[in-house]
Amino acid sequence: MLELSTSELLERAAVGDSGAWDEIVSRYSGLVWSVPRGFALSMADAADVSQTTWLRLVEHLGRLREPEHLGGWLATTARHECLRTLRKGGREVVPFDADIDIESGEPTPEAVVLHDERDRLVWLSLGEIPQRCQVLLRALSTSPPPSYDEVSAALGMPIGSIGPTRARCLDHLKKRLQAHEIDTRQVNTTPPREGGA
Amino acid sequence: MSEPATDPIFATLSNMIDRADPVPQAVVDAARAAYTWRTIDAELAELTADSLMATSGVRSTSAPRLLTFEGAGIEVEVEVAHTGSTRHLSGQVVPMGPAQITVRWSGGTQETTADELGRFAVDRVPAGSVSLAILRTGADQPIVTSWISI
Repeated sequence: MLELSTSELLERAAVGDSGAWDEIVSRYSGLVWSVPRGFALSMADAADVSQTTWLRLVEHLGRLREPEHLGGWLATTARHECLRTLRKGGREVVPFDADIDIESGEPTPEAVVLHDERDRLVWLSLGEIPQRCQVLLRALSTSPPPSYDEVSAALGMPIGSIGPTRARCLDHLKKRLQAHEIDTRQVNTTPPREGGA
Repeated sequence: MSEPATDPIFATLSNMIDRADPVPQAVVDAARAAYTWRTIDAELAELTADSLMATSGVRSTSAPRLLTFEGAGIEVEVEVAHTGSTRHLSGQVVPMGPAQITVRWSGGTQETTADELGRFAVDRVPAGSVSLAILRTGADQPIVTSWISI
């Protein structure tokens, strides 16, 4: 499966190859997840956006006009669903679909990173920079690394402005970190810890 | 991509996000399971209007949400009302006529029928992603609507 192109995987998934579908999910679930989280949606809402995005792809199997741009299509779909979710605003907290039970098992990001002061401040700073910077940096941080084409779709922003915007967003992040009295040079020179990516 | 890996602050950020907010396994599992909703030979009626996105500025949150799906020669209007943590769906299929309607969501389905005017109503649909499968009387294949989060 690994050697197949996205277009080939889509062709296979469209005719019933569930292994091809699983490989598509492996390649793009990180990108799809990064979009609602960049929009600062809750874990439950982000799971909802992710699931609607994947169901949209299921219904569009065999119907995509540019299968080679699947990542961009998924990111665009996820962004539109985020905007819908934000429009719903103030909706009541409901028990999430039992199939996707996020609340019970998973620790919240805040809880995880609290164990490390440096991570906690980076997380805090990320939440303080402009929303589109959060979406951009989240999308760019996805593994496997997305193309600028895909990131541009996640933001609804021209490809040409991704590079300059990325630089400005990283500057915002550095400033927030400094405001939190972090010496970024020290952060940058600290060797990677065990378990790091 | 080429340059990002060279930027220390970006590397720090990526590493932090990777550990602090990975895709939850339940979300990946649900994405894989979404494939079971693949419909063979069903035609698609896509979302063409959503009252949620139609207005800007101040919006009445109490007004029911109106969705329109079009495709495969039909139009489906659906009104979504909140009843606690579940949703009440009512709508009409045009051209008018009786049909078998299946409301589909991640955890299950619910069947109902549309009357001779194409009208239908379904109660207690869980919040989350839903889609309707519509089999018009006399038709060979169902028409499915786009999935949408309600």
